[in-house]
Amino acid sequence: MLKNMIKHNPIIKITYNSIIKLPTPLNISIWWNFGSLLGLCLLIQIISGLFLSMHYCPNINFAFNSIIHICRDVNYGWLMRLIHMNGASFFFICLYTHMGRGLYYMSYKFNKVWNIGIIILFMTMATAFLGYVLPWGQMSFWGATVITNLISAIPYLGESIVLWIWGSFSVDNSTLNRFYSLHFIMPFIILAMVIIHLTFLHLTGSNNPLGTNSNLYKISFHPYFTIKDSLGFITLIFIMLMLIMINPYMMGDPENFSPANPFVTPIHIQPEWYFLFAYAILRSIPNKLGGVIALFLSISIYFIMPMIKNNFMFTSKFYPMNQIMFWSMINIFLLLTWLGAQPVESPFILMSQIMTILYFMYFIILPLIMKLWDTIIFKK
Amino acid sequence: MGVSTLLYNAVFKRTSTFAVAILASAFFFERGLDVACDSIFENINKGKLWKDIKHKYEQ
Amino acid sequence: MAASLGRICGSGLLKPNTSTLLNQVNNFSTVRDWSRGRKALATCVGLAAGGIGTLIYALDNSVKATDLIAHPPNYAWTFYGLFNAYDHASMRRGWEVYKNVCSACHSLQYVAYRELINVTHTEDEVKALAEEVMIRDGPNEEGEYFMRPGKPSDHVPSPYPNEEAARAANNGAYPPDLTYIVNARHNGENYVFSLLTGYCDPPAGVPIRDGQYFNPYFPGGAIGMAQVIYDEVLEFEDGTPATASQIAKDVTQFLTWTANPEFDTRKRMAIKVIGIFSILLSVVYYMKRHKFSTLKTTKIVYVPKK
Repeated sequence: MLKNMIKHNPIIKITYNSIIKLPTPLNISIWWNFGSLLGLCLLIQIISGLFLSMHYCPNINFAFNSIIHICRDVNYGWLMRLIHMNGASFFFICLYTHMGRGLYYMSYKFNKVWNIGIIILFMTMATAFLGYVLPWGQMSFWGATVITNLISAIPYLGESIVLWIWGSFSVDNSTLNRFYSLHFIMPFIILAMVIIHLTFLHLTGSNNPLGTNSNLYKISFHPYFTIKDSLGFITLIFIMLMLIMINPYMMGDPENFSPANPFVTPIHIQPEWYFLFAYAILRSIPNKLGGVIALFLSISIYFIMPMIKNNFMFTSKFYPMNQIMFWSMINIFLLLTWLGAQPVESPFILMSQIMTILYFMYFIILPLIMKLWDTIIFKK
Repeated sequence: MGVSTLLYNAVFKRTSTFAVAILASAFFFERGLDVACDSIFENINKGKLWKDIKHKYEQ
Repeated sequence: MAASLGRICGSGLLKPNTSTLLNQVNNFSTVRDWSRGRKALATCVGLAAGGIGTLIYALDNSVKATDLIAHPPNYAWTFYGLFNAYDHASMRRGWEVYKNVCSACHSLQYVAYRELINVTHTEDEVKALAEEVMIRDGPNEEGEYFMRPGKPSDHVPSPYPNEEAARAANNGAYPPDLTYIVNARHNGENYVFSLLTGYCDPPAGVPIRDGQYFNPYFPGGAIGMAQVIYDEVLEFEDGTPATASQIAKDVTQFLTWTANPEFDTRKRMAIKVIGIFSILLSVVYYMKRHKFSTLKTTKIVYVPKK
């Protein structure tokens, strides 16, 4: 009876096949933990966000005060708020690590999984941006103003699109209200996309660090990877809670403790740390439209990764030049993040321009260098 | 018959007693941890907390 | 690398014989074939790169010479540290300072009197404090607004009815609300303390208009607030000598609390988090190693066909 149910009940069957029976490569390393950690992050954000939405008020006159009300008056409201706030940072730490894993071990060979992953990244970034506007602090308001104004760079239609997005003639009550609606619905769309991401992944099964055919040695997901993922979950929650308890505003900007004021521009307008690399790329291009295109390209360029194939081995393990490239890319990413937080001044402008060029160079040099290595070593 | 066998026969063998044992131990563990952590906190911050100064202001 | 290190160090728990495992791990290492010189070189390059990076970061962070402003030094606040709570006696004095000095110009609009209960004051004291102020309430049954003595649930009344009135009374400068002032400034508590105690004569060449004062910690240097913290500007009820630095420290401690009223609970929770998660982590880590031990010790042998 039970066996029958597992085999035929559509929901139990899916669960059973994807977290119990699922054949998983034996040798996937700790970097493969970040996929499940992202699932955990998404759930943490959805649940804490749900509780916040019970007391939040999406109106420019009450938004800032309602956040303060949550933090001061609601039972453990401060905890929910801090979890939701820092949860976003951990979400992006896991996202970037997950993506870095995919780049290093060439998981982009599963092109459907990879492309959906990039769409999820885009949607998560949009959600995070929308969410950052909601507290209606100074940085919320000015961040929203700066980013939505970028759209006006689109030729001919730009101005109209910006007004359409604002629903007003500046970032105003209608903007805040619709951003709240969108921020509420987006995570569920992301959740649906994640399910598609997983469906496509499970069609082929996971990649493995050796880049070989993963089917050669597989073990069942349970108990091996259920326990390994639990270990990852507990570690992540531990680190996150310690950050929340000891220094919760480390990642935040002090400006956001002042209510939004359209008449006072903060001295340094900068997004949260996870957007800084893209922000640096945006600012490094003098032309506005060019900057917006570069900003968009900085993520969407990853769509071309699945086109890099024909290489002999499917992992950077056997391509030392790739490894140098990869770690340089990580450093470029970190430097861009740092540059995004710097003022627009003499050394930093040139530095971000160089780093932007190097960032995009990666995608040109990588296939060439791999081809070269294949020719030299594997005589292929 | 060792302690473990005794424990097994008395508690772990039946699901009912096992479940009760889990609930009871969770309760006592939580209370114990709470008290221990609070006392560590109050020991570290001796003299700084409200409970250390409130005697001055209460009649 | 880290994984191999963990395998070598942590294997003793689960394996009766570590030496064979050590050899096995050693076989998988790609570094093993390197010559001594190459290993030394790699180590040196790594150390040098890390060292230079740290040095540049430290230099950049210690000088902070990019803008024209005095950066406040970091003071040894008693609430710094993993588990350290706020000093409630200091906060109580800080409330006195706010009430007697700051409240003339600055609002504290997000703080309700009830929040002081069992933090700095007893319930009776808070009731008495709240009754000292008159709160506008209404409309009553005749539809009129009236003044009544405050209750603990009331918020601390603001000195000015609105921002325009505040600006008009202060030469156009707006005294910001103090509830979140510590969180709303970089290096909040040190900034507030330095600002309060940092007034001095303007250096040559810095123009200061009428009604403005020079403070090196304030962005731009010219601040609309006069120095208000002097020795003996008020008397503390608990007899603490009211030196200027004592007053500034106490009010900063109080304002740090208004910005983070949950601070003590958070620090208390930090200990509990460590308590629970160290147990959970070690148990789950052991279980993970235990489950994987059979897999990790599997040997695959390739037997070629004759």
